[in-house]
Amino acid sequence: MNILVLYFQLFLSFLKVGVLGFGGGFSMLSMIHSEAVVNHHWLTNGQYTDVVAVCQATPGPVGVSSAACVGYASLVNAGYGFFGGIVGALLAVTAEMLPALLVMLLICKVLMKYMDHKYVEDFLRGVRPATVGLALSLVVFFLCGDNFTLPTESWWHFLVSILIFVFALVAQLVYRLGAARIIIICALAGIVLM
Amino acid sequence: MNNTVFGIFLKVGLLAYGNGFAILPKIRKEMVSRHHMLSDKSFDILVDVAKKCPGVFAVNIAMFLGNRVGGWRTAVAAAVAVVLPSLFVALALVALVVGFDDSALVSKVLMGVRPAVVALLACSVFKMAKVADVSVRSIWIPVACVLVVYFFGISPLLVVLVAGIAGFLWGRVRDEA
Repeated sequence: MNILVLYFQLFLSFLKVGVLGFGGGFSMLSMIHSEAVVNHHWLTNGQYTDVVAVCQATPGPVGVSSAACVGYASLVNAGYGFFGGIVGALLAVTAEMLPALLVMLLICKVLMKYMDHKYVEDFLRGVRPATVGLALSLVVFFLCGDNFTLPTESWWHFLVSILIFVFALVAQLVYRLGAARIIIICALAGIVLM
Repeated sequence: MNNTVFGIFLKVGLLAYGNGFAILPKIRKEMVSRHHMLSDKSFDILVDVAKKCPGVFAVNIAMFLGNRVGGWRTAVAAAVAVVLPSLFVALALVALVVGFDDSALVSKVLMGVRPAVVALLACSVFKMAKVADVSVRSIWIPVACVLVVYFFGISPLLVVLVAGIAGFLWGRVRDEA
C-alpha cells in the first residue's frame, strides 16, 4: 500500500477516535482495535494484545501510548521501517488530540456554559454503560488462539496460558498488585514455562 | 509561565499510571497550592468539563488548564508535555516487541504476557462497570454492545454515537412524562 494512503487512513481513524473517544482509556482501546485490527488489518489480534501490554506496563495515559504504538506498528508491518513507524506514531497521537484542541480553542467559552446542560448530561448517561460494553467486547475479541495457544497445537502451552490468566485475575482483584508488576511476573513465567 | 506549565505536565506524564483521574491531586498541588496560577474553584470547574469531553482525559485537562492560565500556546505546551514521556517509553518498548517478535525469547515473553493482559483488561471492565453504576436493570446495555460489536461487526464509534443519542431521546421522553 502507498505510504501516503496509509498515513491518511491512520490520521482519519485516530481523528474519529478523538471525536468519539468517550469513557476513558479502555473504551478507546476498543475503538482503536476496531479501526486497526477489524477494519484495516494493520495489526493482528495478538499484536494488538502486545500493544495493550506495553501501554499497561509503561507510565502515561493509555489512550496516548496505544495510539503511538498502533501508529508505529502499522507502518512497520506494512514494511516502511523504523522512521516510517515514528512518523506514523506522531501522526496518530496528533490526530487523536486534534479534535479536543480545536473544540477548546474555537468554542471554549460556549462549551463551558452549556456543559452542565441537561442535554449533555442525558447524552453522557446513554454513553456511559455503552463504554463498559465496548471494553467488554475487547475482552471477548482477545479470547482467541493468538493469546491462548489452542489445545490442538499444544496442550502444555494452553494449560500455562490458562494458569497465567487465572493468576493475573487473582493478583489484581484479590491482592491489588499493579498491572506493570503482573506483566513483568508473567513475562518471566513465559520465559521459564513456555 | 510556559516553561513552568511544561515542567509540571512533563512530571505528570511521567508519573501517571492507570486511571487518568489519579493525576489530579498532583496537578492541583503544583498549579494551585505552589504556583497560585488559578483558584481551587476554577480548577474544579475545568476538571468537570474535561471529564465530559471525549478523548484522552490527561490531555484534555492539560489543555484546559494550560489555556486557562496562559492562552493557546500554553495549552499546546501542556498537551505536548503530558504525552511526551509515554510516547518515548511506549515507542521504545513496542519497537523492541515488533522488531524482535520472531526471536525465541521475545515470543516466549509474549506467550506469557498475552493471557495476563486479557485478565487485566477483564479486571478493568469490572471497575468500569462499578464506576458507571451498571446494575441488574441496565446490564443489558453492555451485553447488547458486546453482541453488536463482536458478532455483527458494528464499529464501537457508531455504538457510542447511538448510545448517546438514545440517552438524549430517553431524557426528552422522561421530560414529557
